[in-house]
Amino acid sequence: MAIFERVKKHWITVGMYIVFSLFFLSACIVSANTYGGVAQAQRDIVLESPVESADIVPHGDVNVSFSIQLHNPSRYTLHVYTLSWYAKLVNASSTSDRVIPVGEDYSGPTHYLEVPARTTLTYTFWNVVSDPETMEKLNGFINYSKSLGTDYTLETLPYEHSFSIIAMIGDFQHDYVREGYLNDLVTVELGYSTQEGIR
Amino acid sequence: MRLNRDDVAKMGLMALLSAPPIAFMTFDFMFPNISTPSLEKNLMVVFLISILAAVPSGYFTRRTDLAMVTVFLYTAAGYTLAVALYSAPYTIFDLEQVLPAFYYAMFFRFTVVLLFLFVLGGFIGTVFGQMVRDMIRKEQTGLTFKDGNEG
Repeated sequence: MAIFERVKKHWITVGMYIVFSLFFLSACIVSANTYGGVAQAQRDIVLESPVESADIVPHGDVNVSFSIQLHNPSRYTLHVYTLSWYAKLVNASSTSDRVIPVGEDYSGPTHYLEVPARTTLTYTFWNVVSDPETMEKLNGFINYSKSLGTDYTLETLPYEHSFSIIAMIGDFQHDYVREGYLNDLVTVELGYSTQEGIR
Repeated sequence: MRLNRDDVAKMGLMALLSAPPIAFMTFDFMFPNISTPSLEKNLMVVFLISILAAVPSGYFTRRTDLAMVTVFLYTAAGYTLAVALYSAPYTIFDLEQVLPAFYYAMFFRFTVVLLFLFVLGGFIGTVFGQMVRDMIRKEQTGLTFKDGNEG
């Protein structure tokens, strides 16, 4: 065919054209592979095994604790942006102290927390409630519940835990102002609450 | 427009070779933060590369109408390849797609403007390719006559 004759004649130009094309083809393959990896990471990174507990410690104080695992099977390191835990007791009968806080923790972007690729990390939080004012409220709740026919102790009170984590996948850019979908693409937002479970 | 077998083969080959830059630029425009290397949504660079991608179709095709049809062909092939790359998580990586209509509508909405750039850049590149070819031919002819006179 005449086309092959012409290719032979212009082999330098055709060679450059093929190299130009192959460069972009490789870029396409690498980029699609990254996209697949990121999408898989979004699906596979999960929170698991939440454990809530409350124990009596010396002096009659109560240690409210919570632990949860973050499973990262992806090939990307997660850079934790914010991580927070909050524990409370809701006293629906009270108008002034409806929410009794019993524990909290927070880590912001400046803490540089990371979850390495293909690892499972366990986060554990605890707070010893020893403040007399809070203890009085907790005991008040126990006594009030008892009058209604429900027996609670400091260990069995219905504490509500909420946990949330926002992390960035890998080192991909995630600070776009207009294109929010690009930030969402590489951001993992996971949470847990006693009432709703893992989400 | 009459086409012979060589024309079709040439156009097909060029559509195949010029499609990857179009596909990459479209995909990169959608996801500049995860693509490698990224053009960072720089439309001027996209326009320049689309000119460059069209130069061979002007350089290798004597007929302007065929060169311009080639531009349409490789733009269509490249855009189709970009859609395939965009679907990669759901076709190759076996993920479950939740809202396919919205997913593809978003892609078309974001990237449809690029098609105009690709075609416009393609036409300019085609003309540029033909100019380069004519200049080289002119130079060759001049050199041939010069050699003939000397001989």
